[in-house]
Amino acid sequence: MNYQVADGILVREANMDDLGQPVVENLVTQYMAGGLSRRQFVKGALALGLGMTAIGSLLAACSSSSNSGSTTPKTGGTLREGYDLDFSRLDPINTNWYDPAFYAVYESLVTNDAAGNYVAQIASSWVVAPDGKKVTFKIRSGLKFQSGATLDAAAIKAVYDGIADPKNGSPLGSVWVPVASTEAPDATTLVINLKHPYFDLFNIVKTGYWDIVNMAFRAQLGDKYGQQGVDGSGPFTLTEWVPGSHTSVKRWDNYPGTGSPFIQNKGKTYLDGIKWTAILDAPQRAIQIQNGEIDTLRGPAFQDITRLQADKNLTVTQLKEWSGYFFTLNFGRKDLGFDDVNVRQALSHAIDRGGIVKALLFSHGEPLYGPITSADKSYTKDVESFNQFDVNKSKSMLAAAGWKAGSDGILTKNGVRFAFEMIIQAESFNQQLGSAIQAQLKTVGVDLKVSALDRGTFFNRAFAIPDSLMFFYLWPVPIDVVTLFVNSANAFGKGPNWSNAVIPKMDQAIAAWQSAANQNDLNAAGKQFQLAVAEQLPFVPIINRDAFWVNRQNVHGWHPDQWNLYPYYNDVWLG
Amino acid sequence: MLLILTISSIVIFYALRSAPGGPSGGGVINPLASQEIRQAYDKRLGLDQPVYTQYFIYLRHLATGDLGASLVNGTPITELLATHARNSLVLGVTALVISYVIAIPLGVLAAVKRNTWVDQLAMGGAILGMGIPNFWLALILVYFFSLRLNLLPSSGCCDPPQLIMPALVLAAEGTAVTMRMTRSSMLEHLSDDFVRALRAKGLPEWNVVIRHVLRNALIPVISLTGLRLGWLIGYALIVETIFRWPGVGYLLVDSVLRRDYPVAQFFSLVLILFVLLANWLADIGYGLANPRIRVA
Repeated sequence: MNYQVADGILVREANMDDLGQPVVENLVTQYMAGGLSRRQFVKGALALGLGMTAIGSLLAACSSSSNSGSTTPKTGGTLREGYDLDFSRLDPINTNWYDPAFYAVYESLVTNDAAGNYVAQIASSWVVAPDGKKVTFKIRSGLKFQSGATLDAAAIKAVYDGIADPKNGSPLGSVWVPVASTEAPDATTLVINLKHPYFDLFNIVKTGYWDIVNMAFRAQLGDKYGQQGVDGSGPFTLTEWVPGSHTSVKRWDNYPGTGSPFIQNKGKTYLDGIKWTAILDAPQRAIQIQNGEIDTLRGPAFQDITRLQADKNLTVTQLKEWSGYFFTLNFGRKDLGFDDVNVRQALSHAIDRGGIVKALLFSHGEPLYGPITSADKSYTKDVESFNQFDVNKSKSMLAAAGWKAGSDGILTKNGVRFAFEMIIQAESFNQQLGSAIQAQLKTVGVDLKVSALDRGTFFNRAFAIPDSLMFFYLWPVPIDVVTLFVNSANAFGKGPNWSNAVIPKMDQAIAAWQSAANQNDLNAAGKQFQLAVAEQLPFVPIINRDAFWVNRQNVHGWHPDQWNLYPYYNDVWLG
Repeated sequence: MLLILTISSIVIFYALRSAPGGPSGGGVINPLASQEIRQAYDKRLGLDQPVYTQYFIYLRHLATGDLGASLVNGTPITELLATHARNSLVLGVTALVISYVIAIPLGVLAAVKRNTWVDQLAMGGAILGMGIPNFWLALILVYFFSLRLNLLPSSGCCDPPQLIMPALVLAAEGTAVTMRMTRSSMLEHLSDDFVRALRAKGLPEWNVVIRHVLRNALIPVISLTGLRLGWLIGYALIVETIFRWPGVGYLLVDSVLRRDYPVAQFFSLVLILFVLLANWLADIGYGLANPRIRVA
């Protein structure tokens, strides 16, 4: 299959589920100029084949920009953004997760626009070989790192080779396994040779984990890279990184400009800087943005959403989130039958996911019957035939497995009580969710003890494979990260397969996902994967929450969208 | 003092390492990383060695003036000490000043106006100040002054408006205790013979109260100051965490949760040293304020 690039947009010859960007841009321009009503815009977008998720994302992006009283951007000022997670090390290769600051200090080969199309960033164009086993990226010329070092194909090759090198300890190396080698035949050409077709490659290289970093500078700083300094090619440079408190960046005056067509500002940024503050106490987030202590916010507490929506000084953007909550069952607990799919399914049927979404998320989310959100391109509704809430079915499946109620109502079998411990990270929502699961399992005669642990203890216990643990993932293409949790190669402490689940059907589904040659194959493999998880339950999916972003009216050009975890800051200015 | 510090350092060192988890699980290493990567990291830090060996290595570094750096962000501990100790000092001194500026005049007034509504109001306030948990008081203040009135920032550092609420919360209990102590001490001295003699000499009442009675009544209040410095440390752990005021207390709580051993070890010792010094100052202050004790 061949791919070509027009105006920086990836256009496939077949399976055109992506759109030609100019058409979408015209629609957006007309809408924002007032030439189209909201209804006309939605109709037009539907006619172009956009899904409701993409349309919602575009409308959200338009609404936050349409708040401006003036359309002439002003230079200066520092954006103060509240963030609902702690800051992770600013080192793409060895970070825990990537934070909004990654979108300010780094760039990657490609990224997504607001409609979900792959568009240029460091690469200006790319071509996939007909056999799908080679991808050639054309790299923009004249690029530099913030230190002044040259950013060319060789620099990118060094990053990708670094990820593949076990010495660097990247835990994400397993999704890079299909890559056979990388080549940089000249300064503006990067070739990725694949062992087999790997259409998912674009989903991988667009993430912050594959952001381009100056490897020489990284080696020079050693352990302090991402803590005391970074060297990327994004429009801002790092000034301070204080986990648990804040991260600050300032404008890079020598920024050569973006290669992404959807970004309006082609030069250096309007903002002098950005300061992200970690607000880990959930109710504090809404207070701070209402009080004007911050300008923008990610992740207000769900109970505060209605109040924020009613505040005329604020705009609230609601998107689907690429995340999910799940809990594991240790396959080694054979006495409890966790190695038996029927027992796992029985426990899953005892979980009232819809009730949890209503009660804990105030309906701002959805039940997870499979591993991923319904917003994903490859989502299949077929997973919804599994794991439905059905207490009677749960009880009968447990009875069929030989479990009988004891005098205290708790099930027993061969003298073993059906009691186990679930560890969670000590955070208020986790604790609420853990309590809900505990109460629901009690109704079928299972005695669950929930232990809230601090982060250090939690991960220490996780790799010792506890009876059960609850986890939350966040990743722009969820199947990629979920493969890490269910891959048999990651069991027994080798990776985050914390159930020690070894299920051949899962491994086959992962192999299919990692060798898909085109979007159709990828969607089909994605469905196969989701159904395997929903049926085999290497972990028990629970819920998926929505993502909420809030901005004050003085913030312009700030567009959180569905397809990128965080907004880009090139266009942002303060009125 | 040196003995106490040595014993404390051993206890802290062992306690931190006895807690489950370690730096590799506290955010330094990706949570998805394999056990092998975690073990390699621990080995690089020397955490695979026996605890007593680690302790002696730690002592050797201390002896050479090498305090180390944070495992989490690589900042040298000397730098952390400079910024966080300064922030804690600003907060603590402000809280003390607020406390005395409110407590002493009200305590005097309550004693002079004994059994009137002024006295009852002041003592009612004191009981509230001692009874309300400071985390709850913090939430109430945030609710009114930040959310309802939009007057003060709800957290952060280090502008003056950001200092007001944490300082008030930190001062609350101390204010109440000082007020009650001032009142009771004033009452004790207001009925002394020398006071009657001063009044008989025709001195104005304010002169008697302020220049003579208060001067004597302040002796126990002054001696309490040293002890209060120690209490402030305990409360600062909570108040700094609630208001995200980046002082020593906040840093210590954060470093323990992240298993940032060098930071947690050092700042635990700093706080212990501070409490020891505060108690020592209390003894000195009491001696200075009360010559009879100094002579004894």
